[in-house]
This record gives sequence, C-alpha cells and structure tokens, in this order.
Amino acid sequence: MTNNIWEAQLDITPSDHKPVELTLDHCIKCNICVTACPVTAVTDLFPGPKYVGPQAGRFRHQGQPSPDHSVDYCNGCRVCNMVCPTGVKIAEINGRARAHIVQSGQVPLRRKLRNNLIARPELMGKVGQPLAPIANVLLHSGFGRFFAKLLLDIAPNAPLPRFSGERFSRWARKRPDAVRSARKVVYFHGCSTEYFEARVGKAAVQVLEANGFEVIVPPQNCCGLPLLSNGEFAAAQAYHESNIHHLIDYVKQGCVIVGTSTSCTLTLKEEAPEMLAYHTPDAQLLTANTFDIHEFLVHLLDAGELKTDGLKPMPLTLAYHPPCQYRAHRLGRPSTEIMALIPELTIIESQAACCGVGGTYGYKAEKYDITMAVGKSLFDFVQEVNGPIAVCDSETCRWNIAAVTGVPFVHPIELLAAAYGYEPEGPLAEVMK
Amino acid sequence: MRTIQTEVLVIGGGATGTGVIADLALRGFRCALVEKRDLAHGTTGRYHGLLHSGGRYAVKDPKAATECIEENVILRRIMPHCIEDTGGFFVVTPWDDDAFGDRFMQGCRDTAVPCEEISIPHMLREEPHLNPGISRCFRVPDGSADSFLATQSVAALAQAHGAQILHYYEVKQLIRQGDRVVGALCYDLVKDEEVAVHADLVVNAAGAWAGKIAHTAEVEVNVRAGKGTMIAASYRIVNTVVNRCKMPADGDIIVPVHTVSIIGTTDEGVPDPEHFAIEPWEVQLMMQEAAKIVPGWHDLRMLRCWGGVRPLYQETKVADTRDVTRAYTLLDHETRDGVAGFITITGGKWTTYRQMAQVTVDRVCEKLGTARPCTTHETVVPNPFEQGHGRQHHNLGQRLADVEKEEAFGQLICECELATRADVEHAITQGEAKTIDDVRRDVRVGMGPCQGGFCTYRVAAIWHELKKPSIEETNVTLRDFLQERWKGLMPILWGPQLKQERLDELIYLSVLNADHLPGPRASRLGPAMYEPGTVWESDHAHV
Amino acid sequence: MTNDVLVIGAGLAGLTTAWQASLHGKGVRVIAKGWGATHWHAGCVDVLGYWPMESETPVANPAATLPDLLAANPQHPYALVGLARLAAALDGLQQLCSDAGYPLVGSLDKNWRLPTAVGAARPTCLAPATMIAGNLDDHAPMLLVGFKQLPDFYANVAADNLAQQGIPARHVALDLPALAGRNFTTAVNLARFMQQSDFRAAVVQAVKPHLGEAARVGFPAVLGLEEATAVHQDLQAQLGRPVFEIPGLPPSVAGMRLHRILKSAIEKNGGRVYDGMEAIGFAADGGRVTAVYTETSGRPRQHRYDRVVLATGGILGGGIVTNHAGEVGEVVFNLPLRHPENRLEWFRRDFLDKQGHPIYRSGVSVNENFQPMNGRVVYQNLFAAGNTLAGFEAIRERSFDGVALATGFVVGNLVGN
Repeated sequence: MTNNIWEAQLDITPSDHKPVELTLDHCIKCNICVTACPVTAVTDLFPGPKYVGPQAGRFRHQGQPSPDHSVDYCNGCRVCNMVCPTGVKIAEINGRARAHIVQSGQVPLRRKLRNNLIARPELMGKVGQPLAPIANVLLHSGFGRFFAKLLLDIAPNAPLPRFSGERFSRWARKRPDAVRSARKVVYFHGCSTEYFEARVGKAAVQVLEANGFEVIVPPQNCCGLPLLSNGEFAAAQAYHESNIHHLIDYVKQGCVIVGTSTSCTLTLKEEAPEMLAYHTPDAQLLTANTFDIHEFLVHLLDAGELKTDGLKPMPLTLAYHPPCQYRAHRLGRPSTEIMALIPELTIIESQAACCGVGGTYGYKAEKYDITMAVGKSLFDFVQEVNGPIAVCDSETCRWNIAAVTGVPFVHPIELLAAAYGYEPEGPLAEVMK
Repeated sequence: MRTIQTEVLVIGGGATGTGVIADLALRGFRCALVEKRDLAHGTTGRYHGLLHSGGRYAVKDPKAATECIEENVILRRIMPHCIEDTGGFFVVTPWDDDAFGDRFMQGCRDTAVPCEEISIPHMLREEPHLNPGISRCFRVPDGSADSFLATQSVAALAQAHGAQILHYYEVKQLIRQGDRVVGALCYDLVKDEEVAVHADLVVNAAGAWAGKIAHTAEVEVNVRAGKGTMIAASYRIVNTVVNRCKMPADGDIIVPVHTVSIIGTTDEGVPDPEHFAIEPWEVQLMMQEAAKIVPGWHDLRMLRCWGGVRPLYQETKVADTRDVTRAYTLLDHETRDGVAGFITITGGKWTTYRQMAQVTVDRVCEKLGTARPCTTHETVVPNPFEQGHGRQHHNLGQRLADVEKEEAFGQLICECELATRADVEHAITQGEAKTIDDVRRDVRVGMGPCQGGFCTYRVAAIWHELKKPSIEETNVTLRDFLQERWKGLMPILWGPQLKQERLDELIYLSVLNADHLPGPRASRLGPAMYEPGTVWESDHAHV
Repeated sequence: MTNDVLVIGAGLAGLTTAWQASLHGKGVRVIAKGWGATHWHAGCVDVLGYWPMESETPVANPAATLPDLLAANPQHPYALVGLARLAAALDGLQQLCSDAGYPLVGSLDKNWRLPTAVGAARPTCLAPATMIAGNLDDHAPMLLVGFKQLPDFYANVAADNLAQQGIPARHVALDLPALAGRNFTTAVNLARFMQQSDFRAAVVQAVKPHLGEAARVGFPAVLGLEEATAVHQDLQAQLGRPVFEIPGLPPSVAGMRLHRILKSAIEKNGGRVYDGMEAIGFAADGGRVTAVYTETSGRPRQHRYDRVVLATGGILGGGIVTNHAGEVGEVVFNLPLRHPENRLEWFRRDFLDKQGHPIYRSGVSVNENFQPMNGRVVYQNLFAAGNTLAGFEAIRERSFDGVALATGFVVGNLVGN
C-alpha cells in the first residue's frame, strides 16, 4: 500500500462476486462449524451451521416456498465462518435463507410486526429520543415490558438501552472547537451512538482529532443490519443505498469512513453487499474505504502515525469481550493491540464465542433463553474478572452483558480517549473519579 | 439344480423390463423377472434423468417427439412422486444458429409439443446462472425423473400383482429346445448357485445387453452400445432442464435432478456394454460444453461422473450412433428368426418405457392366444417407500421439509441427501438390498457431496445390526461401497471434491483402519471396475 | 510484542511451530483460515503405523522401523527431522499435555494397538490416557458402549470385529432418557453432557447391568472436553474397572482437546492465534518475504514478520489446491511443488490401494532447514512444516500427526532461535 491509510483508495479492481450460496460447494461435511457454534451447544432447536447452511442450502429453491424453518435459530454470530476450513459463508447463506422465508410470507403476522419494529433502531430513536425521559421510564417499566411481550412477543427481560438526552449528530454539529485539518475522515456513528450512547461518538471524535484529523459527520442512516438479520431485505437495501448516497461523495473526494459500531462497519463493508448481492461500483468503493475505528488506528500505529506518547496510566484490570461481529471482520484483535498501549491497563480477553444477543435475536421472547444460555460463560467470566467496568466494541453485546451481569460496559475507544486526557462520560467517568 | 417355473420370464431389471413385468402382472400373467444386479443397475440408473417433453426430437425425429409428449403426460399422472416438474428451456447460445429456433418452434407445433418463446430477461430472472449471451429461449414441459425410484415403484406394483422379481440373477444362457426358447439358465450371485427358470415365453428386455442374451440362443440381434458420459455438479445451478437449441449433440443438456445438476452426454460407440470406462476427453468435453450454457460451471464442484450405455438397435451398420433411431424396436424371433417363445424389446428411452411395455405385452397376449387390455396408462404407481403418498410431484425441498417437520435432525444417516435411519432400515429390510449400493439406489445414501464419507460407516453398522451377517460380510459390504463410490469419482477428482476424498481416506483408513479389517477386500457383489489397461489405472505410485 | 514469527495454519504442525517458537520468547502470530487437522483426526499421535505400506501387520516399534523407511525414502520429512528430534518432539508434547492435566501415553519404541470404531486395531504411538485401556495386546474382555442417539459411533460392528480377532467383546447401545428427548446429539454435545455428574451417573447406571464379565469398558471418544481426565477417572471409579475412549467420525473431541492445549500454550507465552484469516498473498524483496496479506471484510491486512512458516497442510488441509485442468498449486506463495505431471497419474484403481494415490504425495520440497527449495532456497525467511511437505503418504503410513508434530517442532525451534 503506497498511499496514506486515511486517503481513500479509488482505483480498486472490481471483483467478481459469486452468490454466497455457491460457497456451499466447498463444504466437506467435517462438522467443525458445529463444534464451534454457540447456539447448537445450548439448544437442539438449532441443528447447527452445517445442517442449516451448506447442507440445507442444496435443498432450497428460489422459486418455491422455503422448506425449512430451523435456520431462523441461527443468531448470525459468524463463528462458523471463522472456523470453517474451506471458506463456506455459512452465516450469509443462513441470512439469505431467512430472507427467503420472510419473502415467501412464511412468518406469522405478530412476529413479523415485532421483527420489523426491533429491526428499526433508527425509527425507534427518532421517535423515542426526543421524548427520552418519558420513553426511558416507559420502556423500562414492568408495565411497558408486559405489553411488549403481550402484543409483540418481545422478551420481557430484553436488554433495552436508554435514550440519550441529546443526539450525537446535534452535538457534533454545534461544536465550536472542532478541529480543522487537511486530513479528513468521515465518522459513521450508527444508531446506537446517535440515539443511545453519544459518549462513544464523542470519544471517537476526540481520538481522531487528537491524531490530527478533521472529523466529518455527514447525514446517514441505520446501516440496515437489524433488517438484514430479520430477513427484511428490501428495507435493508433501501438503507444501504441511502448510506451509499450520503457517503460516497466523501469517499470520492478521498475520505475514508470510520465507525465505532463493529456491526455497522461490517455491514457497510461486507454484509449488505453480500447478503443483498448488491455489488455496484459505489458499493465496492464503500467496502474498500470503510474502517472499524481500531482497524484504522492499528493502520496508523503500523505506519508510526498514531499518537502514543503521554498516555495517562489507567491502573485497571478489565474484562474485554471481542464481539463475534468484530472477529467477523477477520482483522485479528485491533482493539486489544490499541488498548495494550495504555499504561497500567490490564485487559483480560474473554474466550467466549458470543454473548448470545445476536443483535435483535435476544430481544425475541422465543429466543431469549437461548441468548442467556449462549452468553452464560461470558457472563461468568465478566463477573469473575470483577472489574468496575468491562469493555466491548459492539453496542447490543454491551447492553446484553451489562444487563445480565450488572457490570457497566464501555467501548474501547472511550479508554483511549480518556488516556489522551479527555474527560470521560458515563461509566468510565465514575471509575476515573 | 434349483428350478423356477413361470408363464412369462422377463430378462432385465431396467425401466423396460420392470415396465413389462408390471404390465404382465396387471394383465394377470404369472411372471418373473431376472436382473443380473440390482434393479436400475444398468442404463436406467445411469442416465441424466430427463423426462422428455419431446423437444429434443421435435426437428430430427418427429415420431419420437410425439411418443415422448404422450408419455410425458401419462407419467406425470401415474407416478408423480418420481417426477419433478422442472420445466425445460431450449436456449440458443452464441455457438448455435439463431435460425434453428424457428425450425424448433415449427417442429414442436408439428409434433404437439407445447412450446413458448420467453424473453431473455425473463429467462435470467428464473435462471440467473445461465449464459447472458443466450439469444433465444423456448419453454417446454421437460421434467426430471428419479429413475431409481420409478423402477423400484414399478417393480413393487408388479410384485403387488403377483410378479416375482429376482435380483442378482445373471442369465448365463437361454435354454433352447429345438426351435423354441423355454427359459433361462441363471446364476444367483448372492447364493452362488445356478438356477433354471422355465417359462412359456421369454421377453428379452436386457437393453444394451439384449444382443448378448439373444446370442446365447443363437439369435443375432444387432444392438449397438452407445456409451454416454455424464457429470453431476454438486449443486442445483439450474432448476430448469436446459437444452441447447440445435440438433442433438454432445454435452448439450443440463438436467436438475434432486440436489444435483447433470451435464450430458457424450455418445461413443463401444464394443461391449460392460465397457464404460470414462475417458479424459469426455470429461473435458462435458466441462467445456456445460460452460457454454452456465459460464460459471468450471468453478462448481463436480460430484461424480458415470457412463451409461444406450441400446441402439440397427439392422445395418451405421457409423455415427446418434443417427440410429431412438424409437424402440420389438422383435418377434418366431417370425424374424424362426425361434419361438422369445421376443426382444430394445432401444427407446426412459420416457417411453411404459409404451414399450404396452406394445410388448400386447404381443405377448397375441402369442399366448389371449386378449387382455392394457391398464398401465391409468394405474397409479404407488411409492413403495411411503405409504399413502399424495399425488404430488416430487420437489427439491421435500426431504428437507420432511426432516424439519419431524425435527428429525438426529435421525440423519446420510446428511448430504437427508436420508434418515428409518429410510435406511426400510431399504435394508423391505427393499431386499444385497449391497449398500442397493440401499443407495433406494434412498440416495452416499449420493451427496461427501460421497459416502460419513454415511458408509453408519449404514454398514445398521446393516450389521439388521441383517446379522458374519462380520466379514459386513466388512466387505463396507469396502465394496467405498470402492463403488471411488469408481465414479476418479475421473472428476480435483478441487473441493479431491479434498473431500482425502478426508474420506483419513476417516476410513486412518481413523477407522477399515483396510485392515478381517475378511476379503472385495466381493463379487462389489462394483465392476473398468477393464484393465484403461486410462485411469496408474502404475506410477511414486512421485 | 515483537513481530518475530508468523505461522500460517493452525493444524498440528502450525500450532506446534508457534508453541515452540513462543517458548523461545518470540512474538508469534498464527493466522488460519479455519480449524482443521486436529478436529478431523483421532486425537492421537500416529508416527508410523504401516511400513512397508502394503504390510498387513502394523509397525510394532516405530523407532526400530523408521531407519528402513528413511533408507527407502530419503526425501521423507522424517529424514530431515531425524530420530532424535522426533523423539524430542514427542517428549515435548507429552510434557505439555501432562502439564495441562491430559497426559499422552506412549513412546517412540512402541506402537499401541487401539480399537477403532469398526473394531480394527489402530497402530498409534502416543494416545491420551483416556484411550489406553483399550490396548488390544491385552486380551481382557471388554464391553463397548454406544449411544442410540449418537450417529457417529456404533459399538456393534466394533465389538464383533474385535471378537473375531480374539478379543472377547460385547456391546450395548444406551438409550438414555436425557438424550431420547433431544432432536439430535453430536459427539461434542455428549462430551459437554459428560462433564455433568448427574449425566455421568445416568450413564453408569445404564451400563452397570451390562458389565458381566467385562474387565474394561469402551466408550466413543466423548468423555469430556476440558475436563476429560476427571470425567475419565470418575467413570473408572464408578464402574470399578478401566474405561477407554474410541475415536469415531469427525469432528474429533479428542483432537479438540489437543487443539485447545496447544492454543493455550501459545497464548500463555504471549502469542496470538487468529481464526478466519486466510492468507491470500505476499510481498517479497531481496529474497525475503516482507509481508503476508490476509483477506478481511474490507481490504487485505498486512502482516510484516521476520520469519514466516507455511503450515497450511496438503490437499486435505487446503495448502495445496488442484483444478480441472490438472494444475496443482501452493496457495500462499505459489511455491514450486513436486506432484505427478499428468492428471492420469493422480490415482490408482482401488480406493484402498496399499500404495495410496500419487496426487496426495504432492507438496513442497525443502532443504534440511525446512526452507522451500527450487534448486535453491526460494525465500531466506520462509519455512514449511507438516503435510504441505512433499514425498510421503501420511495416511497409508499412518504418519499424519507424527510428521506434523515433528516438523512443526523442528521448525518452531529453527525460527525461535
């Protein structure tokens, strides 16, 4: 790579994209994926990634109704993809099979309504955030939850987040002290930062600015992943197209996109194009120029460009869960590499495959118990480490693990921002007092 | 010597022979069928599975086309469980003549084969993997057929009406008394003994082997063996039968059957129907021609390769076997050769098996001096593996839907083809299976991508439990099946399938050490391998 | 952590290389497309089971037979390793596993003959303590226990074959209520259940009435994952006689234990093991590999390491690929390979051919330092280990794990020094 990492690569060679179903041809039936699948380990309702993926895939016919339903128990964690020795895109095959069930109208109405609601965090945010105080009380009351279960089959104990008092993008727009620089990056905040955890976005902006970048926060939409994982492909594609529309001009001007939500960045890079078989030149350009924030920082580190001097010591021992959606980027552990720079910070990494929540999976009443069983070893681990806070890159995982363990969670970028000397907010502020 | 007495003896357990015996039984004849291996072991079980609409013959052989469409309609009605209503396309690729499309349309009109031209965008919506360079596409009512299941079903119907089906009975010689054939001397491979089957009339329905059979009674029947090679890709890359719209030639059809897509075929005259070694050029040709229809074909995983030998009857020598008529031939040897009690039915194709049987049994009635009407066109053929099946066509998702319905995930023996323990047990106990290969023909075990890698062990164990043979017999049964699968793999082993085979080796040799189990390495019921000296036999063991 | 050693592949060879290099204090990263060899094979260390390969009798003493093998095949990876280093590799792994509380039993001068899931005698050099009581040199009567719901192990065929070979063996297939209500049961499910004492109690209770004369009891290799030793000992105590495991169809629970032990050892020494990272290219300069690239969700990630070890396996592992045109290639560095020239020479007629199929001997040629060669060293800092090496028939010889372990051990020490 010759140019700087923050300069968008525009001369990409468009690759020929085969439908993910064709990767099932590489399956040698060895069942390694089954040994690693966290869902099949805890429930016999899910016969395992090989069964629902490459095996069932040979019996599906796009022109006919879906013959199977067990694939819906896949939580999309992608652990199967990571261990498969032959490169079968099992999770994507499953995602597309689920969409086929949805498209052929095989989902009961109440479930379909529910799935469409929980798969639209942007809509919930737009409606709920302005009414944050009331919405938070309502959503977290036993009464609200009782009705959510009764009407929509939403798990009564689902880990619901709290709306922020202020939308992140509003904060970003009205900052008088924003850094101006020739080095510009675009920040993709995603719904969680926008409506629920503005502090993560603030930390990201602080870290990027500390490294001399001007941070652009353009209008943007939900990445569409919740819709993708609920099989609502048409709506997901509309979001993805809208995001391309909002972002692609910046890329063409040479800016890369950096995000803090691992699942949003994975969706922009890979999940949306692959699941939707949407490979326009602009979509490919977006893939090539979207970064998870720690992936971006590691590139800076490798190039000797990352600010590593004068980091404040952080004498803490914290549990860190590299979320499955982060591992699915196939980058190794960039967050761990960056957190290792912070003096006196001890990070204990979990070995758990998945926290179980699978985005919206754990919000569904019929899947909640599976979520709890999948996450159990992780919950135990977090409680064993017993830090004042714990760390995870993915929002729904943070909310899930925090809800079960009672340990507050932060995004790793918040640690680096604090080490750079910025005033933390939320749980980290409590700890740093 | 053991003897069997019957009224009509049918030789050959393919589509024709089982069709004849079912028709005989339905018309109330006492009858027996002898087959040298399992039913459908020969050409019937080695074809690409096309249920002809007649489109392939619409221009070249209108008589055959009309026969096909008539039978197509009947078979869909009487054995829906054996047929998938895939529909068929005839496509004009960049290598074909655009104008042939018009001749094709005209031919279909003339022969009453339903046909409509559809737009290329429409075609690509239905079959996105087809060559976008295709210029014209015609839709016809082709289908795909499970010839194993059909043969089993027809045989079961015959048995239900009193017919005797004798598997693994190889005809050594027709028994001739003067100018009359009175039966056949058979060898029972399982019991290793000779059996004489006496009959008032012998029907030779041995397909490509019919000439050999007739020869033992000193009757000369010139049946040419035309070998066709086919390759199955492990995925349904198309869900519609796709034919090239041109005069029939090598490698011009892809048939979706069950979970695979089959490209066929070559047509190579061979001196002997036992000669079915697959030559490398045939594999290359099939790969190359398939890629003209589906451009991504080379990237697909080839699952298996096999050759079938077409019976092509001719009275005079013809150089190119494709020009011999596909319409069938009925020979009455009393009038033709002065040998009574003996008729031969040969030629034809799977789609017209019922009509061939009808014509044959009409002649049997005539010769035995009785008039009994044929009812096979209106007799529904039940599925012997499923009680009370509906009158539904088979569909691709059926097995998956069945497993899902019962949540029978843990019952799968062959995970690739979703054959359950109950299926396997039924085939072993009710289906009179003599080898695991027979079980395969009944329930598709070992026919998926891993080619028996995981299920051979499982089936052998169930076999051992249910049939209680000596352990040496079980061991050789297992080894025979491993070898049977290998036979069809060798010519197409590369890429993922080669990796799969190495995993299968790791399992059977290294984890199980099945090559060092007691008992013979192979049995006489095992696969017939290619003749020595063919190209796939390598003496170069060391790199 | 410094960027010292990059290992491509996480089978037995790759993990052993990384473990050894990490013992030298090197900064080690393992990148692997996925899991493989450990999960497929029996969870033992097969060093040499049959030599000559057509022999019907297994090798009794690998140390004594190996010189014959090396004389006949001086290109064999074992020839580069040498007997002393092979023995050291076995010792090293035994020490590691023993420290992890999961002893591997055996030595280079004796092969065990252990029962397989069809009841053949399997020659292997090191086997976990959980399998040893199955020793077929001992003729004590045995009871083999299967589970009706486990489709990957059938005790009936195994017992009848063993009986036929002179080992009194009976069998039973348990139908436990805890499993009967499930939609499916895999070996890994069972291994997890086995770690629960109430499940074990149910197993013991179901087995006891069938014990009879049996002096030992065999189970499929599902006796626990992390807690295998404890599970094994508890069953022996409760059944009052030796208990042993028999490997079944993949995935291999016993192999998963080895994978976990090696991975933990690497991580304990500061190394990293990354799954799902497929090496797709490299950069070289001045006769050295300067970077390896892996596929990611967005764009290739670069890995710059001083030394690079290729342990991607052979045709099974995925390090060597073939296509319909008869081409044979090495996937990461496009290294020169030894392989049959003509596709017609890839196979022999019989699946179970005693010599094996020539294509599977394809691999990378290396010098005595395990550097890939093309007349001369291809890249100064590139090494190869395991089944990606040329010139041997791992499965016919039953040397699949031995070659991986020994070459990984040697290369790990080479790159660690």
